This record gives sequence, structure tokens and C-alpha cells, in this order.
Amino acid sequence: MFFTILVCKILRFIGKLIGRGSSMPGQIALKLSPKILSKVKLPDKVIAVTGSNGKTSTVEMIACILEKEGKKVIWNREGSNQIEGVTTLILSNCTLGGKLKGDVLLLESDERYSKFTFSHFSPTHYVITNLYRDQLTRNGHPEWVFDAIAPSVSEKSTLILNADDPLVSLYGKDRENVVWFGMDKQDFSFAENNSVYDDGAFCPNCKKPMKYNFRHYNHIGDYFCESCGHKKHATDFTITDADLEKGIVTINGKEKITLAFKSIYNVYNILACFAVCSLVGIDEGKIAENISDYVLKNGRVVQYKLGNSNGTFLVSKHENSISYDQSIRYIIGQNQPCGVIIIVDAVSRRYSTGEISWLWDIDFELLNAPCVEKIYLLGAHCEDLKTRFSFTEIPAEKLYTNPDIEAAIDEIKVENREKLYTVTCFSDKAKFLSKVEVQK
Amino acid sequence: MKILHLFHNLMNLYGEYANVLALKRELENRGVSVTVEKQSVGDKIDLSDADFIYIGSGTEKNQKVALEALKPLKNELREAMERGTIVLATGNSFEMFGKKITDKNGAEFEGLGFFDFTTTESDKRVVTDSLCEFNGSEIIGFVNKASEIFGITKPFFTVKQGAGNNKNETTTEGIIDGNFYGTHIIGPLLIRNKAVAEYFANLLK
Repeated sequence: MFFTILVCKILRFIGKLIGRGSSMPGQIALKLSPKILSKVKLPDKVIAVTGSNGKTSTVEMIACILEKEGKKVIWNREGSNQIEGVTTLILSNCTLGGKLKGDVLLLESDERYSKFTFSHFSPTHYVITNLYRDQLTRNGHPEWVFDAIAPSVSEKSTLILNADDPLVSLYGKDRENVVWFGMDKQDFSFAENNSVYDDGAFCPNCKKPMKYNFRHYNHIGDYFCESCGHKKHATDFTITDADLEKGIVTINGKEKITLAFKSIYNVYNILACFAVCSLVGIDEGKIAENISDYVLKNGRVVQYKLGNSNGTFLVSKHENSISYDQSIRYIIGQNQPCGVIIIVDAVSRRYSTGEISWLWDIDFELLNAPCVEKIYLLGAHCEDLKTRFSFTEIPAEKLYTNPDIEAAIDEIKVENREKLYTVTCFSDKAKFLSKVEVQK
Repeated sequence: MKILHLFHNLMNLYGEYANVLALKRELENRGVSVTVEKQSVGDKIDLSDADFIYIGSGTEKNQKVALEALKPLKNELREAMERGTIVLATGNSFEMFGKKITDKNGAEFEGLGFFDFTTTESDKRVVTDSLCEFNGSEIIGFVNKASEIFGITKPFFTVKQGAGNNKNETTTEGIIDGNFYGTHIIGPLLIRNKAVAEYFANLLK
């Protein structure tokens, strides 16, 4: 073990010097000693977060709160969330004797690779945020991902589950030690699904038609199946009140948190973070205080200037319609006259594909709002976007199409709109942000 | 002209509903007036006046639910195809029309039995961009399946790049038999390939 840890540390050191990623040292360590992760002495608290959306943000907020309380947190802030990256993280933060030098190990875990990581050790606290249609070229579909995560769920872990997600909730079926989080009915909750597709139409347990008392978005809400009895579980950590206009949420009728980013998805991430931190013994008043107005450092929201226009860049995920819906709903919610820039150039930064069926799952119709003055469709897939938009009610004269992102930015610049929003993925982020003035 | 979109809320992965939009637009561009009706589990399914029936991709579990819902309608479905109704099934929905589906755990599900092919699911997905040929036109799309299909003699597409019906038959994809068209190519197929939308519109007009 000594040797493997040493090799990993050295490789990580060299890797950092030459600017390499964090998965290679772990990969080699696993070759040298395949069971190394079971041998390491981990701290009493091992927190893991998996699911489709919100992992990175939730983990970052948990780390922030625990660190503010003086805990030494070892966490994968670079987001290397597969077993190799996790191995690098653990071994490079171990003593040579194999003891992790921290009070808490906090892991974002890739939903398809969790089963490999957690075959060596089990988290004490395991959060599953949600299961959405996400990167279906890798993931197939949400039920496929459900089956992939299942082997990583140990009886030993305290599961922290999103009670509002009917598929995620199945992990808590017939099992003790589950902590549930969810949101009570709010002013913005609605009765009928209004997005392009409905992953809540059928019960994930028995496949009979499922009903909802209310929904917060897509299939997330208060569901119940009259056939098998699968329904939203009573929640231990609850958003009892959410005012997204003012940006204030209340947890368990008591702790008030102000939001730096007023979106419902951010509220769920905050709630999951609050639940975990409370469960590991942090004072709830302190959590609320430290998470209020917290601005994520992971670069998912970036303010910029282009000419005289103020812009907000919303990192969304290609191949993830809910992520896009989330950005679009945020834009519409601001109700400010604006131009919206949508860029689909490289579908993925990991692999090359022309798979664009996910464009049809995004609720672009929402952009048919008076506040949206113009929509710029840019990048290699701009014609695919144009076709997609041709099946909405959005007037064609509001649309602008250009495969050349740089040339389009020059044109948008001289239009001097009051407000711009840019919606695209990590894979296309730099192509835009390198051409505008990013506000620190 | 009536397009019946079956299991629109059950077999609805990969934006498949847009195949119906593409066909509708293609027909309307030719001056044909089109109605689209959606029917699914829980509805009374009525095939009697449909000119075109479409079913899309779903999860492996949802496919079994759709299959059970279709079984009581087997004769009506057969009669509809015999009197000229065209059926297009994309993604794993077309597997229902064969003899049998064996799932990844080895459980067997009897198919509708219109054709002799059989399907075997596995715990590995076949995921690939696809380039095919149909009627002299280049067809582009994607395959995202967890199955192999054996015993098809009348394929829909010639595969130039991508996946065929199974790992041994890599150059043939899907099935055309009478008025039935099945393929694992998603895209959506009729959105990304105007030639296919035109082909069906020509058949219908």
C-alpha cells in the first residue's frame, strides 16, 4: 500500500506541474493495487452525491459549509467523479500509512461508475439528487441509470433521497435508514405536466398510470400511484416556503435562506446540502447563515459584457433537456427584454457525435414570450436548432442562425441589447466567453 | 388523413414524437389535411380509421408494457395493415412485432408474432452514429439500443457505418415487410432525413 500511495502522490505532483488531469494517477494506482480503496482508513464521515443534475453544485456547497465549521474536507472539487479520479483524490490526501488526512471525505460520484467506487467502501451518507434524461448517448435512459446506480447502494449507508422524484424514491422502498428531502406545494407548483415529455406519466414501480397532486417541474412533485401505492414519502427536510421572486426559501418552517441564484433547481441543491450538513452535526442556523447568498464558484453562471449589453451566461448541459428547460425558465422568469443566444457546436467534450434528438425534448416553446426579442442559434448544429424552432410557434423573424460563433458575436455586439442570455454547455463555453468581457 | 401516434407518453424517448410532426408537415406541404391522434395505455385504442400508425422508442420496461397493451389488438392491427394502413415503429418498439423478446435476465416475452424475427436484450448498450442508405438516399441518425435482432430477411436500410440488426449482420438494419416498417435508427429519423418523410408521404398521398 505504501508503494502505491507514494506512486500516486508522485504522479499527482508531476501531473499538477504539467497541468494534466487527475484521473491518470488513480488509474495507475488501481493497476498496481486493485483493492487499494478498501485498504485505506477513511474518516467517520464519508459523504457521496450522485444523480443526474446538481451533483457538482451540491458538493461544492456542502464543502463550503463544513469548511466554515472548521472541518477538514477532502473533496473532488475538480469534478473527477469516476473511480480513477476518486482514487487519485483519496490516495494523494492519505498518509503513506494509508489514513485519509481529513475529517470528512466528500465525493461527487458519476452515476454509472458509483458501483465501482462503492464496491470498495460505502459512504456513510449517500445523496441521490434526481434521475433525468441526461447524456442518453452514454446513459441510455433514466431507468438504465437507475439500474446502474443500484449496486452502489449499500444497506450500511444512510440514504438521502429526493422524495419528489418518483424514480429516485424507489431506492428507499422497503428499507430503513432513509432520510427524505422535498418541497411542499408552492405558488408556482402546477397540476398538469406542461413540458415536452412526461417521465411521471407511469409509475416507475408498477408501470400503471401515475397521478400527481402537484408538480414543481417535469416529473418532480407530489406523485401517487393508485395501483401499487408508490407515492411521495413524508419528508424530513422540507422546503416549506419558496418565494423565487424575492429569492427566499424556508426549510422546515424555520430556517430562512436567501438565494444568490433564484431557481427552483438551486433550491433543491441547497435543500440536499442542508440535509447532509444537518445530519453530520452542523447547527442548522449556521448552515442557513453560511449558505445564504452563496454564489457557486463552479462557473455555472457567469456575468459578462458584450458592447453595451449586460449578459448572463447559463451553463446548461447538452443532451440534458431539463438543464436547458431550467435555463430557459430562469430567463423567462426574469421577464426582462432580452436576446437569447443558444449555442450547439460540439455536442460533447468527451466524444464526437451528431446525436441531436435531445433538442426535441427541450421546451423551447417557452421562449415564445414577449420579453424575448431575438433568439440567436449558433454553432455547427444551428440548422438543427432552426428546424427544431420551426416546430414552435416562435415567429421566424425573431430567429437568427449562424454556424460561425465568432462572426455572430460581432453582429450581436453592435445591436446593443439591454440584456443578453447565453445558453450552452461546457463543451461550447469557451467559444463564447473568450469573445466577451467576463465580469469577475 | 389520420396519423395515429400510439404510446406517445410511454414510448417517448429520444424526441421520437417529432417523426409524427415531420410526416404531418410533409403531407401538409402537399396540400393534404392531416389529423394526429395520440392513444396510449389507459385509453381505448382504436385503429379503425388510421392511415398511418407510429410508435417510438421506449425503455425496455415500457416496451413490455406497450407489448401487453397491443396483444389484445393483434387482429385489428393485422387487419389494418392488410387494408393498407402503414405502420412505422422506430427504436425498440419494432421488436414487439417479432416472435419473441428475451430480456437481459433471460425472461421471455411473446411478441405479436407478425414476423419471424426474435430479439435478445443484454446489459450492454449499442450506441453509435449511423450512416445508411435507402432508395438511393443517404440516411443519417443514431442507434441507442440494448438488443440484437435475429432473423430479418427484408431489411429497411443498408448500413454504411454504424450498427446493423445484430453483431453478425452489420450491413442490414431494420425491416420492411408489407406495410410494416421497423428500424432502430433514431434522429428523429423523419426529421433528419427528408427523403424518408417524403417516402412515407408519397405512399400515403
